Amino acid sequence: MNQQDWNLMQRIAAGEESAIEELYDRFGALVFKSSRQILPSRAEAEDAVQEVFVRLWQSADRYDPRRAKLVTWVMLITRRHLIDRLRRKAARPNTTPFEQDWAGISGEETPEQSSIAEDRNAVLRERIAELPKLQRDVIEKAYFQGFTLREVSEQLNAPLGTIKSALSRGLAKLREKSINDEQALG
Amino acid sequence: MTASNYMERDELLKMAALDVFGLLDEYEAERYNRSFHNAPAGVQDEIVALQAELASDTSLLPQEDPDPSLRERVLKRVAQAVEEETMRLAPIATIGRSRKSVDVIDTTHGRILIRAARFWRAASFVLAASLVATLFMYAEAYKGASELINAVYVQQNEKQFKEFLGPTFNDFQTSPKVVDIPFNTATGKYEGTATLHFNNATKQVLFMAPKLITNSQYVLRAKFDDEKTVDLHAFTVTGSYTNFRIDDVQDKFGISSLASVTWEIFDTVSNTVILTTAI
Repeated sequence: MNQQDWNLMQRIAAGEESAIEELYDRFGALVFKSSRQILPSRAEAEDAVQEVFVRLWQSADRYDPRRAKLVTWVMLITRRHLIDRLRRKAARPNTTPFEQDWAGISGEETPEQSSIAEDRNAVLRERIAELPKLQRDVIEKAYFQGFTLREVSEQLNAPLGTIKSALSRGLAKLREKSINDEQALG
Repeated sequence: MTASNYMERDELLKMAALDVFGLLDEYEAERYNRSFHNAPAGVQDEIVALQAELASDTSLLPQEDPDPSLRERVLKRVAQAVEEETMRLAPIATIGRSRKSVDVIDTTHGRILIRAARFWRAASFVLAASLVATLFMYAEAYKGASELINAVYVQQNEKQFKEFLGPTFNDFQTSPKVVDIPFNTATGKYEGTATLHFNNATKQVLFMAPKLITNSQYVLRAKFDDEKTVDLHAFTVTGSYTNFRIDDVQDKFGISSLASVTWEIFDTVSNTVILTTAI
């Protein structure tokens, strides 16, 4: 068990500011990038980061190092928050395929920022486009739009087990491609 | 519970990725967690490592970095949340401290604080609803919980239970600052169970044990990192359910957080530690 991480979360549970600083310094970028992947604007992503760290404080004393490493816990809290946001907003682009530009939805950014935003998921977009259609659709709906697996199963008229397998395999393939590309770059 | 309710290793590993990204719905997540806890230690370690690897992988994330000013905004937002929570709990914590009564409320011996009775009577309607919710919550969480429920209703401990819990219990139990930690058997043989609820904000401890051996004498003990121990409360089990609350553990015993001690139940008859929170 990682005692240091557990002690850190206990200090955070007690509201110790230096502990929260330490947590942000370790995971702030990860939380921001994860938020930026899903949310269409920097402003929304920054707001999400703040809310995630409040949730991390609120749930700090429930962190169990036997169950997960701290980075996993942080990612889980982040993803749950992002999915909650997507569902709350009810702004899931139900019919908007992933290939469309997410940044244009908010209308808050300058043309230069939009251009950068277009590229922010470019690598991911290319890799997803290479996946079989079912895996592509499931990842788009579950991972990026926040639908539950059951909802995806109904929407795609496919058994739940098939959806779970497609999602799992699709995510595994994306990682595999990512690892292969990194190795190719040396 | 049938075997199909638990996932095997391969399925667990497959679902691990979905779990870490929050993609399992409620039923699947519960089944996954149950299966994880039922899996051999080696498989658990494998899953923990895999999920950490997945969570750390930033290759598929946008390469934008956060603005440096975001750090300060995050710290301010969290500080604000901490302050709001502290302000919310402050009046509740004051109720305990303002009374010139003993800090330990022990229903195993039937002693009820008379001075606080009028507060608890006034809150009894609210408490009735929260009591039902609380008991169902424990029924979900603990084995033998039906015995707990029976102990409350069949053995006519309901009045004691309500008076013991008091109007602050609902806030205590639902506060995000409460950490629950189960005791584990220290000897590998003892089958009793107990749980400690520690409120990091108010420094209160709530001890609940549905199945300790009756007619035996115990001590709730805290052990610090330097092996020094402090006994918080001695109790004798006379029924199938034991509970007590201890206030001001920081001021009285120097215990500032759950992380600072290991909790033990020491059997004074057999001179052994029977339950411990040590991992």
